[in-house]
Formats: sequence, C-alpha cells, structure tokens
Amino acid sequence: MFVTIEYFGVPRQKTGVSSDSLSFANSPTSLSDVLTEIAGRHTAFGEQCLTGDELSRETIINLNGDQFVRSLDTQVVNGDHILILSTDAGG
Amino acid sequence: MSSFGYHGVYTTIDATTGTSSQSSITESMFRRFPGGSALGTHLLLKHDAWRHDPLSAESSLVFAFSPLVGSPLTTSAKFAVVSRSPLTGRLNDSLASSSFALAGKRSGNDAILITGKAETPCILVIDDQQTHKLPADHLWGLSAEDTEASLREQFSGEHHFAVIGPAGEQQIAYATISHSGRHAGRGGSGAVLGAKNVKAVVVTGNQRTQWADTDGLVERAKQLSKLSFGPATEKYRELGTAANLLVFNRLNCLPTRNFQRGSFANSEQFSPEALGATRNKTRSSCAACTIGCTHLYSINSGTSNRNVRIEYENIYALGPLCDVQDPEAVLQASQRCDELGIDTISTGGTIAFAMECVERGFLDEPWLRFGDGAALLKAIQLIGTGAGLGKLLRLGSRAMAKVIGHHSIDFAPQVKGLEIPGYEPRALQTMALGFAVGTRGADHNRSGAYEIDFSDTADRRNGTAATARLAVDTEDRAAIMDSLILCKFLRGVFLDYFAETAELLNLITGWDLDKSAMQNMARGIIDAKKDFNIRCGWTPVEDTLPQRMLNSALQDDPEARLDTQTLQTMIAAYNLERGWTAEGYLDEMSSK
Repeated sequence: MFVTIEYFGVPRQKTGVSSDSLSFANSPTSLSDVLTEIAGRHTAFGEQCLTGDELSRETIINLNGDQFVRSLDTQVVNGDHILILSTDAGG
Repeated sequence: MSSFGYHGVYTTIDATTGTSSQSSITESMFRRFPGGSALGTHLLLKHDAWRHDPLSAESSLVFAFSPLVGSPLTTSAKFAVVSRSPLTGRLNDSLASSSFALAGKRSGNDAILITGKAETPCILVIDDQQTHKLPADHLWGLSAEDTEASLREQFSGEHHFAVIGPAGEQQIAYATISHSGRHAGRGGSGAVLGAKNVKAVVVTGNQRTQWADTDGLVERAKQLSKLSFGPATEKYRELGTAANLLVFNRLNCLPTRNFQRGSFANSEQFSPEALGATRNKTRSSCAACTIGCTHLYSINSGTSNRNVRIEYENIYALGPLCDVQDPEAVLQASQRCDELGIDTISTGGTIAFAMECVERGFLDEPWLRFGDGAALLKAIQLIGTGAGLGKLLRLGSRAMAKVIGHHSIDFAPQVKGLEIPGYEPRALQTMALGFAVGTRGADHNRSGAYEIDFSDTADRRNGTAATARLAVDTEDRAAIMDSLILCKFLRGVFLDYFAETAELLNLITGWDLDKSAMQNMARGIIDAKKDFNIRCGWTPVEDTLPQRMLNSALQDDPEARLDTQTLQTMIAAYNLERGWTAEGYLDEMSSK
C-alpha cells in the first residue's frame, strides 16, 4: 500500500522535503511503523518526532486533513495522507 | 507599600494639566490582579472607566507592568495597555514587549494611568515617579518609527518610548501604540492616546524592586532560558508564525476572500521558505527574550530600505483575506500599516469587507476588487488620509456595515466590532466559541481554544459542550500569561502550567501560591473583564459570530458547518463552567 506524508513547519525544515510517498507491505499499517520508516529516511527529524514510544510534544499528526491523532497504534490504510506539523498553531 | 516584585504604587497623570498623583495598591489586590491585563482591568474598574466614551477627555488608559518585569526570566519584558476600546466599546487589553516595560517599571510604578486631554500635542515623561508634560508639535504627523527616532535624539539612552503614529493622532478606531517595532495592536488603544493629544509616553528611572528568592529565581531563569532554545519554541525561532499559513491552508481553515473560502490558491508563495528565497531576511528579539521569533523580510520594490516584520496574522489579513496573491504587495501593505500605526488584522478585515461590498454592488468603488494588490495599498492610503472611502474604512467593519446597510453586517468579519483573526470558525469550532465569548471580541490571544481544535481531544468541525469546557482552560492560561506577563510562545516549555507559573510568582514575591490558587486567580481575572463589559452595556446577544459563519457550510469544506444551536449550546456550557449564569451574567459584580 502507499501513503503520502506531508510535512509542514519544522518537520518540513528538518526533512528538507514537503512530502514523501511511502510504500508498505501490509495494509493497514500502524502509525508507529510509518514514523519508523520516516525516521530512517530523515534522521534529523526522526530524532525529534518521537520521545521513547510516544509522539513528541512538539509534533502533531493529522490524518487526511480531518482528525488529529497522537496514538502510534492508529492504523493507516492505502491512500491515506499523513500530515506532520509543529505543535502550537497560534501566532 | 513596597513588597517583593512590586513598587506598590501607580501614577495617575492628567494630560490636561500635566499634573500627577500617586496611589497605592495593596498586596491583597496584587494577589488577585498580579499585573499586566489583570492589573489594568482592575484599575479601569476602580476609576469607573466604563462610564466614559473611550475618546473623551474623561476616559482612562493604563500602562500596566508586572512583578516579573526586570527579572531574569526570559520573555518577561512586557507591558499591557488597557482601556475601553473605541472599536468595540468594550474592554481592550493589548500587550507589547521590550525596553519600555523595563524602563516603565524602573520609573517606580506598577502602572501608569493617563486621563484628561492636552490642549495641544504633548509628550508625557515619567522619570522616577516624577512627571512632566512637554510639547510634541514637532512630532505630530510622524510615523511611530520616526517618532521614536526623533525622541532618541531628544532624550538619553535610558529613556524608552511608547508612541502613536498618524492613525492614533486621527483617532482611527484600530490605531496602535508602538514601541521599538512592536505594537499593542488590537482594539484601538492608539486612538485613545491620540484623543488625549498624547503623542508619546516616555519612561525612565532607577527604582528597582527586590525578589524574594534571588538565587532560586536565577536558577529557574536559567532553566527556562535553556528550554526556550529547545524544540518547544523551534517553530517560532526558525520560521516564525508565518509557518502557520500552509498548515491552515491545507486544513481549509485559512480565511480567504472575506471568509468566503477556507483555502488560498497562492499560499506556497507566502511560506517563510518562499519569502526568504527572494528576499533578505533578518531575525531579532525583544529585550530579555531568548526565543527570537521576529522575522523581517526586505521589500524588493519601492524606495524603502527598511525590512518589514512578518507574522501569520498580517499575511493572512492583507493576503488571503483580501485574496491578494502578490507577496510583495502584502509586505508593502504591512509596512504601510506599521507606518500609519494601524492594526493589520482590522485593516485587512475591513478592506476585505469593503471589497465584498463592492462585489455585491453595495459600494460604488469599482477600483476596490478582491485580489488587487494596488487597490489594497490605495485603500490603506485612504485610511491614512481619511479621504473618500477612507472615511468609512477607518471606522472598522462593524461600524462601516451600519452605514452601508443591505444586511452587510451579516458578512462583516467581526465579533463585538473586533475583526476576526486568521482562524476559520466553521473549521475550528472550539475557536469559534473562543471568538464568540471573548471579552475584547474575536481574539486568538485571549483564547487559545484553537489548541483544542488542533488536538486529538476534539473533532474540530463538531463543537460540543465538552470542548467548550476545555476552551475555558485555554482562556485561563492566557489570562495568567497576560498578567504575569510572559510571552505565549514560551507556553510549550511548561509541563504543569499553573503549578510552574505559581512557582515563578512565588520566587519573585515570596508568596505561597499553588496550582489551585493560580487557577482561581485566572477565573477572577476573567470575571473582572466580564464585569467591566457588563458595566459597559454588554448583553448576551453580543456573544455570537457573523451570520455568514452560521448554518451554512464552508464553500471548500462541506463538513465545516456550525449551526446556531450548536454555538449557543457551547456558549451556555462555557458560561456555566465559568460559574456564570447560562446567559453569561456574573452572579455578583464585585471585581472592584
């Protein structure tokens, strides 16, 4: 299956790209597996997006422009768009 | 009284005569209203400022400092300007940063209250609790920046200045008070000062307050500074708030074309990366700040060699909201707003509203079209001169709609008269509540309810009574932040917010506040603000949104729809959570 990762703010700066298209053997796949794959590709961002087994406080994730999620057990399916952005939307 | 962190006094200056008097503030009052917005609100209530037209000689305007000002705590060099707003008729508390706060506190005052009206333009000088009134005829007509430059030649380097631009002089309803490139921007406090013929307030002095636990404070300050270099503030430091634009656009919550849409075709051109690719970019910090969020970009055309400070809100209001897709025009417009001394959000909101009125045939100004950068700049010029359409534009969108008629109030982008910041209420419904109930009108700084929308605790497009209760907490946090005063960009470093802010205040004052005490303090501050508004004539019908944003879906997001009944349910839940009646009245008004 394929999922599209869209990076915004600091995650975009750290990865140096605005998006990635990733493929996975299994569908659905956990968000944890997706982030592990991203961390392998983008080391600087990978070091920051996870704190132990949890999403770091500074990172938030949105699925398909709809719901925000924090649980790394969240299942993603083929065609999903995963938006990764910095916490603190205000300004 | 003088206790740790405080001078225990405020000075009242009568601009009519130039005379002043000092009054004491008791520790018990500081425990309820510790500084900043809270202290300013308390003093306005004490002086019955709600009785007076904000542009009358009898009105009062307060510069309020705080116990943290002058301490080694990062981002603490801030001051509040509090008055009744000429734009909303309700309480207005605007904050700004930097050396004016430090020098104002060293003048020996916890607050400075200005009333009266000078016969001719004047400068008010507060020096070690002594006050003087000096002529300001040579400054009248100058921009805020040029006024400060002139004052630097007139006074020593120990003096610092809060000034108004031409807009404040002309009492434009959304004029700002400026200091060192920062602005107490919202609600028209510049017009209040201008109505008093006060061009500048100058502060200096050598009076310092003591701290109860200096060693502990210094140690905590070091910890906070270290955290402020970390990931919690990285977005502000590296990219600035402009980074929000692409996120909001992607989620269809970037108000565009006067809130007709939630996304904007040319958003990528306004990203910090794109702006920086074709322009010189510099960064700066406020005094006593370790974050350094200020990002300034050069303007490529014209004769100006000054860089312009860019934030999400001025890009949003002067770009997408007016559907202007040329970043150069937006940067120029932002710079022109700073020169005049007008709030960029209200400027953009009012012009976008006028553009839609033209589109609908309610205004015969065919040059003023959505998407036209030259028209945007012309409209700002007219606001400055007051010529032609400028006479209407300088009123703000609510008052303008009353003149235009045709039910245009239904799409005037404002709450209580204050133009709405860049958060689409239909797509961010907890924030919609925050806007509706805000004491100074639609406001993203007094309510952080968008944090709920941007989390997994709520469905941002389906507001509920439960999320309304969460919104109360974000407003309480802001009330403390705005009263201590600390920069909101620091909030991400706190793990246990109320407990940690209690600790900061205790280190300064020697008090023994705990988490619960801070939460109660926050509730009391919000109560006082509501008390002021009720005395001004507030009624529950004010707590709503423009009709456009109710009962119909956002054009580019059919799921983003907010019903009137849903909003009313959320408002009632909010009011009850605050301990008010379901309609929003206080059980008793005892904030004085």
